[in-house]
Amino acid sequence: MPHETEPSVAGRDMTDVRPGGHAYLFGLGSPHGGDLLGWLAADGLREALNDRDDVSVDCLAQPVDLFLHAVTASDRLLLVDAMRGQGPPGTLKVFSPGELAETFEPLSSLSSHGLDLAGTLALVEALGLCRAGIRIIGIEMPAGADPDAPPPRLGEEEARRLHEAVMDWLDAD
Amino acid sequence: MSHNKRTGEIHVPVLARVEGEGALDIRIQAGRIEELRLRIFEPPRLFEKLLEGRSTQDVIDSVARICGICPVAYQMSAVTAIESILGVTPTPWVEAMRRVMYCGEWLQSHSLHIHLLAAPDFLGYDSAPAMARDYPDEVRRGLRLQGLGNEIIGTFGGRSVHPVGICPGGFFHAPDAATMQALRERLTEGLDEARELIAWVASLPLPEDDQDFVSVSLRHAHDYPITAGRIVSDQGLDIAPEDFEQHFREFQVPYSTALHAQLDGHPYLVGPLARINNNLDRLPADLKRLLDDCGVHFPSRNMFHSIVARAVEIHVALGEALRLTEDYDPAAEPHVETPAQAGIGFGCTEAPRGILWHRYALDEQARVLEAQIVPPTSQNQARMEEDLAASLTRLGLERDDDALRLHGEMVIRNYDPCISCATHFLDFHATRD
Repeated sequence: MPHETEPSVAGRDMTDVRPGGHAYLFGLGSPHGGDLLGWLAADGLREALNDRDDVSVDCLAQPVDLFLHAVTASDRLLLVDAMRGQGPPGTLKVFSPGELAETFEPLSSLSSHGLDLAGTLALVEALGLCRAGIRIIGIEMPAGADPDAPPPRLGEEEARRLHEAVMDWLDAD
Repeated sequence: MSHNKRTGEIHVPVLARVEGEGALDIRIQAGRIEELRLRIFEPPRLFEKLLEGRSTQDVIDSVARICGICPVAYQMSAVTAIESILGVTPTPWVEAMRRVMYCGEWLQSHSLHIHLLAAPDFLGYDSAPAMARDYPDEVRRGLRLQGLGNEIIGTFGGRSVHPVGICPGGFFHAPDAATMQALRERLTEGLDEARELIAWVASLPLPEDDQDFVSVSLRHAHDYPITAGRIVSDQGLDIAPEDFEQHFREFQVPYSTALHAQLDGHPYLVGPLARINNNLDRLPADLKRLLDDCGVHFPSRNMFHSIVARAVEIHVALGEALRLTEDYDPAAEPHVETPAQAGIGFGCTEAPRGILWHRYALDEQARVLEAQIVPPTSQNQARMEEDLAASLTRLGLERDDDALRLHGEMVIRNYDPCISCATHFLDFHATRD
């Protein structure tokens, strides 16, 4: 079950990890359909975190685009993405990279080629980046694929819970 | 001299680090390869049939879905064919910006292949993350270049995967000047990294494996070919894209859901090595000097020089994107109006993996009557089989199964095959008593 735990750093020398490094918060998605949720989340959080200079917030079209940012070993990484099959629309779940792989492994072969989220996180780990912590927050997207459905929105309650989860993560020791 | 007259079979049930699902089966009899099959078993995707009855815009948006890594190539070949039917000539601004967008695709596709798919083979790693532990700077450089390619595509297409910005007559939207200026700053940084990348791939321990093959690519009047040109070979072929079917033949083999193709009855190569072999004189002089300094010489008969060709084309893509966006001025009208018109049209552009040929027949409402798509991977299948037979024989068929399997996979990955692109047909025959 996904929950808030520190991701595995087994086998890694943690002495050079600087607690409280810069935090990168990326919304993953696209402008279309339920996939938009990650970007909506990032837009909302960017505004809410505007006064913090220890956090960068951006929208990414592909996980691999995070490497366009100067992420280092001492940084922390939070990814917000739309998910499916984890509860009613609007459900939020927090995953560590290991939990993400366990939960979504059966779907990994459905990803288009290029680097999917799991592959990108494997490279982040191999490169020794973001060793101060990695989290993924999934937001359950609306059911179905009705092309005439209105664009998804992040409701007030969902935005509040998301903000709370992000602040908990940011302010954790 | 070996007296080993081995008999046996080698199977690679699932090819790793290629897009799509394929396998390799080899039967060796008395020390010779009796049968070699690059078996593609991914289900057919029926795109050509799905396009029938669709509007021209539907075609452009739908063909982008054929591939997650080269959607721009599909859109560009399609829009070229469609505009030729509709009698539309894109403005110089549109032509230039389409080339820039296409450069983004070369950049991201080539970077992905070099760093995450091919380089681990040459350096003895079984995966990109394993290689990244020992080559972190090189991998991060590759990921930055890949991300930069995605950024270019997203700038014009709204998103980097399955972009939606192209329409008949141009683009839906012209990027603003500030966006383009920010992009140009990143491109400039990328150009230095591309020079370092060329030197790095040229230093990799690439196998020496010269072979005879025919290089087929586009050739443009004055540019390195990307979005337009005539179809040429290094054996004297020089034809317009509409004459493709007079020389190239697609055919089915029982063990592949992707059609094979031959040029005048023989396998041929498309892709970066073929492009650079046929267009060396279209490279900038400083790039040719850099190649000379690195000791890699084109035209090359060594298939493993494909990775160097990809690195060179990353530099070409960055240089072209910078050249074409110098003094960038957003178009007031990023597209021209297009009438509905019936006819038959052809489009052929250089996808990252080689020439991508489209043919469409439209009715009076400009809806699709027929569509035909010949992707690069299906064109390379026969060449890959030919290469595998030669490479494995040269390696030594007496070697153990794991060695042959590993080398076979490396040979296949060197082509950067996109099996999902290639499996678009279904040749259906029913026998009834």
